[in-house]
Amino acid sequence: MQQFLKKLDIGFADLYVVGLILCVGAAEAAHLAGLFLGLSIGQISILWVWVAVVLLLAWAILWFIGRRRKEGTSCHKALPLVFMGLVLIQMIYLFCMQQVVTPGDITLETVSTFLQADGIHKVNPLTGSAYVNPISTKYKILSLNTLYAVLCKLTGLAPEVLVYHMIPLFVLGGSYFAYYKLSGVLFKEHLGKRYTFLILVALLVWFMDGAVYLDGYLAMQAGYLGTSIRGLILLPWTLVNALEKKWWQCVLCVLAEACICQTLFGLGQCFLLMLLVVILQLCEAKLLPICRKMTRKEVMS
Amino acid sequence: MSGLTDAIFVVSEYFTENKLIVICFAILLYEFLIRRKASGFLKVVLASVLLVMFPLTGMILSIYQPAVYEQGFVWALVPVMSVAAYAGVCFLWDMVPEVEMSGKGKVAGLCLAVCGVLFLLGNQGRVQHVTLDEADARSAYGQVAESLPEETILWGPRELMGWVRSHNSEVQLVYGMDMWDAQAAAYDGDAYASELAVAYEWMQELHEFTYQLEITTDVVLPIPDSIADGLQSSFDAVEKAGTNMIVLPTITYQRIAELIPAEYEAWEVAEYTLLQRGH
Repeated sequence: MQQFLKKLDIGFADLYVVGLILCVGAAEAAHLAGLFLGLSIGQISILWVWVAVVLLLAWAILWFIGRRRKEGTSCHKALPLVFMGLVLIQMIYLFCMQQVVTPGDITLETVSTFLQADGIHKVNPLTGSAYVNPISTKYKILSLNTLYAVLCKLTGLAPEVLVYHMIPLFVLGGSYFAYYKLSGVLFKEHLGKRYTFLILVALLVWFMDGAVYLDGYLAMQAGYLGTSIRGLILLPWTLVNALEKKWWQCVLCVLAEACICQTLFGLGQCFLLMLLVVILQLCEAKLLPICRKMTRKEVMS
Repeated sequence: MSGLTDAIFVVSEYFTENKLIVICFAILLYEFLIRRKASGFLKVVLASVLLVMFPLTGMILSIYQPAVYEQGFVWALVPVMSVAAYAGVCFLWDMVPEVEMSGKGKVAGLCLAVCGVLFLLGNQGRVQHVTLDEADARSAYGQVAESLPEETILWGPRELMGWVRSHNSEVQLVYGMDMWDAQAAAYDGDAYASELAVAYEWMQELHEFTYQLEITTDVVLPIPDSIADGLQSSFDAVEKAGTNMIVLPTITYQRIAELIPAEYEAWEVAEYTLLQRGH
């Protein structure tokens, strides 16, 4: 057991990001139950709370037993402070600024309609009237809107406040945890370099705002979208865990993406990235030694 | 063939939107060709860049990604932000080794240089935001939304309809965002009657006319024939679809009031006139 936990090597970033993924997983379970059994939002909320509490409790216990205690080398105190300052400014911006219109975004309409109709996909969120034609299954099984509706129901927050001003804060936080872990892979225990990396990421977020598919736009204008959670948390998380060969976390990311973004039969960008790393690692482990041997033989002859 | 062309177009569009990709290439060239010591991370970056940029694989990636998303999302595979930040760290800590020991002025100079590069290559700091005009318009939409009675089925300018629907789910619309936003239309399979599409076009033309009225102060603009002629048929079409509330900008309503059927009663809310049949 100790060996297993040591192998898990869980840090605080893991606790947060995997916790978010588990919340999405619980939402998917509650969403599917609500969809097929015709449950009300109140019933779905209770179901979500039960599943989420069980999953999060199990994960928290696992983290507490197997948490990593080692820390990196010390660095100049100004670097973490600058980083924290930048994140704080971004969070204030996200909380206070008015939402810009993202093309094709129907999240707020959908969440409000779920609450109004007290059920999932009962009426068309775009018009408020009954659907004329059935909606696509690919879209129907996505659970993010249900999660937001459940959170609105549980907290009593208005959908606009929760979706536009609260969720992006958690997503941004998750994103920085993912980049913090990535910095650990890139710069090992050199805290100075790690915080410089994070400061630059925080600066870049402001400058990559030119199109809806750029990370800056996803972070600062549309943090509540499935594609934003994928781009800001799941993809960096998949990359860092694939590089560290923690495949179970990569699989979690692939599953989470299937719950929040439309994919090709559950296979999305996270799967593609994981596959890419696997192929590269296989090439490096199997093909490179063969190539080197052949080159040596040629040189010898 | 068009798939290949699209794949090439996606690359060129991405380069226009995100000039930070240049840093990605710079660090790849530096690590692979000059230092010859690329990490596993940079190998993944190189492989993903080649996958997205090579037209054939780019086309396959476009097909792999569901059509509901913008084509630019295929670039999500490339961790551009991570590479750009990695390049910055390499520059500050490795390429300028004295940075740790140097004076405050030098550090500040380097930071300014990094900010300068960001300004030049990024989005020039143009963070997207809601303008004052948009905020005013939203305030007016909010007042309209509050004044609508129960069981309203609304027809009006599309921006107003979209805003009201997202902020007041009790209000129904005669047609939704899927009428004008192709991405939103991908979520449902509903289609609208052709008369409603004509009514939508009429309302957008009216919106254009409103804009002309707002910017023209000296000359009295004549009402375009298409607006005058199409009014009755558009009103009939939306009424047939169940609409019981029509919202028009007051500035335009004042010009076309005599054309509006007599059975509609009108009252003003913010910059809009609400019309209800037999109220």
